[in-house]
Amino acid sequence: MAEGLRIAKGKSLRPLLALCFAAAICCHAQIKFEEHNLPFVLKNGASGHFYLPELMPGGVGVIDYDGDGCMDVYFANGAALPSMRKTGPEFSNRLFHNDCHGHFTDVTEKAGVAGEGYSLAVAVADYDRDGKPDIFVAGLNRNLLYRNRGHGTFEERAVAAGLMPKENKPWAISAGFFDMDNDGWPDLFSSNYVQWDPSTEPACGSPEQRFYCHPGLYKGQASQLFRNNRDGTFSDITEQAGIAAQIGKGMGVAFADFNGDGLTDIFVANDSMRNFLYENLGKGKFREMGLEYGAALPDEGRAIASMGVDFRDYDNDGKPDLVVTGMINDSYLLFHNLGKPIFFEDKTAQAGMASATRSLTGWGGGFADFDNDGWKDLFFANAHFPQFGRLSGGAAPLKNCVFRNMGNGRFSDVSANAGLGAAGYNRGVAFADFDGDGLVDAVVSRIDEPARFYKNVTSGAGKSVTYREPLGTEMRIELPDGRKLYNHASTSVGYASSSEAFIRFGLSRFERPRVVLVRRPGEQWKKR
Amino acid sequence: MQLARQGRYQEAEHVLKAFAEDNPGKPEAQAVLGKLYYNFGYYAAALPALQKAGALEPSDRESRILGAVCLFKTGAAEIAEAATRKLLSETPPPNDIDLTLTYAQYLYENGDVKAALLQTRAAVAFAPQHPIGFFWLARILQAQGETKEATEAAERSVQLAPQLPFARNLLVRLYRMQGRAEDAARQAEWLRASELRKANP
Repeated sequence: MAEGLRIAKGKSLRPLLALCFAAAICCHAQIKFEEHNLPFVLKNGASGHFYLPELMPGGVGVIDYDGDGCMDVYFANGAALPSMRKTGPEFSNRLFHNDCHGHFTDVTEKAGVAGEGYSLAVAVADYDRDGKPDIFVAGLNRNLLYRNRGHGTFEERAVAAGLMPKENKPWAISAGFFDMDNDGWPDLFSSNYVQWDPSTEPACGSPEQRFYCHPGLYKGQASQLFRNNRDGTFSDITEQAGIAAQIGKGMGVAFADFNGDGLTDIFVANDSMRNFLYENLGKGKFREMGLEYGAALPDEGRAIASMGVDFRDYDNDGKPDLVVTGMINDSYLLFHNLGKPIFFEDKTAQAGMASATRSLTGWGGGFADFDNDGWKDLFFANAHFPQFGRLSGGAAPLKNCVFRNMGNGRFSDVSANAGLGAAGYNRGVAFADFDGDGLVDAVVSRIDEPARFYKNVTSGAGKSVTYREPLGTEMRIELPDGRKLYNHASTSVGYASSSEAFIRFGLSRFERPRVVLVRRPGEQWKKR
Repeated sequence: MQLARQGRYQEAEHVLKAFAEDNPGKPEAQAVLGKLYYNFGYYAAALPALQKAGALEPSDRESRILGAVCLFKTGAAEIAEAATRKLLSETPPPNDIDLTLTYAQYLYENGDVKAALLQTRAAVAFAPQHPIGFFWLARILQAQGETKEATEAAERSVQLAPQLPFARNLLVRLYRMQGRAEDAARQAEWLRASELRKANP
């Protein structure tokens, strides 16, 4: 009788238990982080003069610089203004070594990467293909290229590599490596902002209460494209590539092959004017098609103060989509890629993002599957401009936020219980699994406060799998239940930042994918 | 308000704030401060002044309407919806077109597209010369897959206010959906030229 009962119980409960287990690990895991300080304080050089660059730092870069398999982190830092000089150690860019458990040690001095000038953005790639990732730092009139020599040291090569123009020095806010011609050598795109000179900085606000000026008062700049010459140098092909014709106010930049033609395209988030979508036509030529393809403006037809961007497939239909952060009253934009011939449609409202983000101002942000359920979630680093805090009915520092991808085209704000800590002047965010537990963590820079390491401690999350592939590679995995998941290799994520160089998939309740397909740049889909 | 119109926002705020603080029982003092904030998109700052104005003078429908819009814009959706329903029930809707359109936007963003469409249709019937009304009608129709009618509404919006970019952006997609590449390109070019001024002030 007892045996019979046990069997009966087992029989009747097993499917229910299995269902509960599956639900726990695939559908209802509360995304949760533990917040830790990092010993890096982002300094913007503010001294009461309200110079525009003070708003803009700073980028975060993920790099395994010593090849130990663990993700280290590099921060770009500001400088004194108006001199644009790093007048003290507080302005030093910083490299932190990760002990593989999410404990970070400052190795800047030994590595020789403290930098010069007013640094803003970090881009990471092995540009010389010597097997060691290098660091490009974009900034205000000054770029740096740190070539990784191995043994934990770098050499600065921007001038020698042709990345430091002698004249018409631009103000770059973001930069990213991508492979524009599928030759396997990372090319570089620099997203440039406005023409700025401290001696002609306009005064805004009243004499009693100065404000930062609106970007509308400054002339825009063209972004720049540098082709990798495969010999340690780059050629500026901005003009012949068709990039120079577009004057913008570029902030974030992201890359993906949105039209499936095998060539990587470029999206530039512009501040208070339409965004640019550069369609890669091949042979080093690009055509700006943001308006035609629906990614330049939200459906409301009014340009927003676009800042950060990620270009990734959130609904697993094989076509990369866009998320763009903006300012208070803008709402962060979600553009869904329909494919030819329309391409992007503004799904912000339908996804539940319009009202949820209207009262926020966002800088960094991006798609990452934090609970490994197979759907990429959203993380945003937020902070109002100082003058808007009062007018928004609260303080200017904001909390970061995380939205869970519900798998039905909607995102749900799960920030309240996500352990995201106190408000701050958050800026860049980069994503990586810093402690090797299979969960994506985040590092966020903060003005005048220690940077934050958000250790992902989501309980009940599924497993993940990562693949190291060249930039631009697309991958599709099929789970045992038939679900297909898509992602591609791109490190340029969010605002002025660079994330881990892996293609990552959450596996939901499964141990491994059933099928793994890969399409490397310029090649056909094949099994991996 | 004259100062604000001259672009001297800070001075205007300073004067009106002092006026409102010195006259806490005067509805017009609150209303004018609230409207200043509202016009500059500072909805959270506008809200208390507008609510105060509405409470002091319930016949000041404009302050109450703008207050409800501020509630929507600052994410207090449920309170906003209740306030809107009350306002709309006081007189036959939709004689407050801005409120009606904001309400329609709220309904649209919350997934009630059919109700949003009803509100918007009523708004443009009441105000057939309102370009933003036709823009919203086009936007919602497009989301409903009513491409032809959406195109007509967007074209009407452009006709009524050719200087505004909103409906033109929508027309780019609508024309492309219908294979009208040249018409789409024309609208895109207009938008590009308009945006050029922003790049080079």
